[in-house]
Amino acid sequence: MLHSEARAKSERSIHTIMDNTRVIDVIEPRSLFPDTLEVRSMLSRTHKESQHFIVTLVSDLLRAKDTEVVKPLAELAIRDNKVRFTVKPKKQYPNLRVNEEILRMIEDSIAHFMKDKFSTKVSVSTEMNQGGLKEWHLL
Amino acid sequence: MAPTLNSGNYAKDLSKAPSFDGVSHYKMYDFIVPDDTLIYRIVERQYAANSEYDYVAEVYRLGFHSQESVEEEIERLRDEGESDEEVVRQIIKLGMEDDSQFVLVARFAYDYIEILDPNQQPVSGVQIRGAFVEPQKSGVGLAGQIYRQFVLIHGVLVCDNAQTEYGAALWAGTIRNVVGRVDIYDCYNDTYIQELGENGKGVNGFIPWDLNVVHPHVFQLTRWVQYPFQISRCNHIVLVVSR
Repeated sequence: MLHSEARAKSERSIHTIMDNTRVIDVIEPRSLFPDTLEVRSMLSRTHKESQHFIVTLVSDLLRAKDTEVVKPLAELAIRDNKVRFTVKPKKQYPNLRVNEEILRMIEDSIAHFMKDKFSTKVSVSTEMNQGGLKEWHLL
Repeated sequence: MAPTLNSGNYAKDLSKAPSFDGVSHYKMYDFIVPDDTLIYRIVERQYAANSEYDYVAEVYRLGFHSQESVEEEIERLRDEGESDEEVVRQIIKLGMEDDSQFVLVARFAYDYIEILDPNQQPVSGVQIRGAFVEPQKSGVGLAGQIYRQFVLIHGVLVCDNAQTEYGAALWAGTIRNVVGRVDIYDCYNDTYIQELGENGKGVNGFIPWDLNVVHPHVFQLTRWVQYPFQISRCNHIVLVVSR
């Protein structure tokens, strides 16, 4: 039986994470997000245009030592010189509060990586800016 | 058991197109990757009965004259709540494809097969005989998305009787994750054994893979290092996903 709709790849084996990715940035826990995030690039993707990134939760990687299955917080790719979420945090962890600041930090990590490694300037999504502004309405 | 896992020097080399005479017809199927803006086209050719394979499919990533406006249109259609199938239909209707930007990303060979469904009724489908995905495009579930299309087109998709470590990992992980339920099937007795579960094992513990390699063997994928391979050769076991 097919799944009712096509799904993005939402799981990874712990082996893929360990063998085929490298941590390019660590986002430390903060008050609203008490977990450490690791932004990883896929080692098999060597061309500039085909870069792919997996964001993992450190707590999930520890859990995966038993289950072998990792559920990334998000996956991102470069499309048309823009950073794009191909696997979205909201779908992966609907109950986790991932605020715009965290999403922005993930995109910025990747933009830095692209600049350092490939001397390429990639833009981050503009929607984030608008979303970020909303964050200030703390009434 | 089940599909036999072969060592790395066994290659299904489809990085170059196999050449055959006698194409009877070809068909095209377009699809979009969930949550992404990439549209792919499967070009499937069916060959005469005595060919090495019954079908060979080539998969292209489509390019458009204005990539950015197509991307915006995809986002807009999705925001309006259109299904991915409808999004693809509408984008193709724009007629903005640019052949010069098409990129060949994968090639598959497969044969016609008939098995029994769980109610013992004969059903037809295709059995994968060879697969090649461009290394820079692999690893994010693209093969799974293509296999899903094969199931939609042919009704039943069956894995090869012998696989590489990568092919076996694709069925053990990605296909269950992005395509659908995978069942373990015995081709000698034409019976379903059980559903494939976590870690490459049946939900009731059946081990569907044996290992046919020269010892000592160095695994390319660490996921197989601790795997409890069947001792006896069992390449009559296959994995099946159906519509």
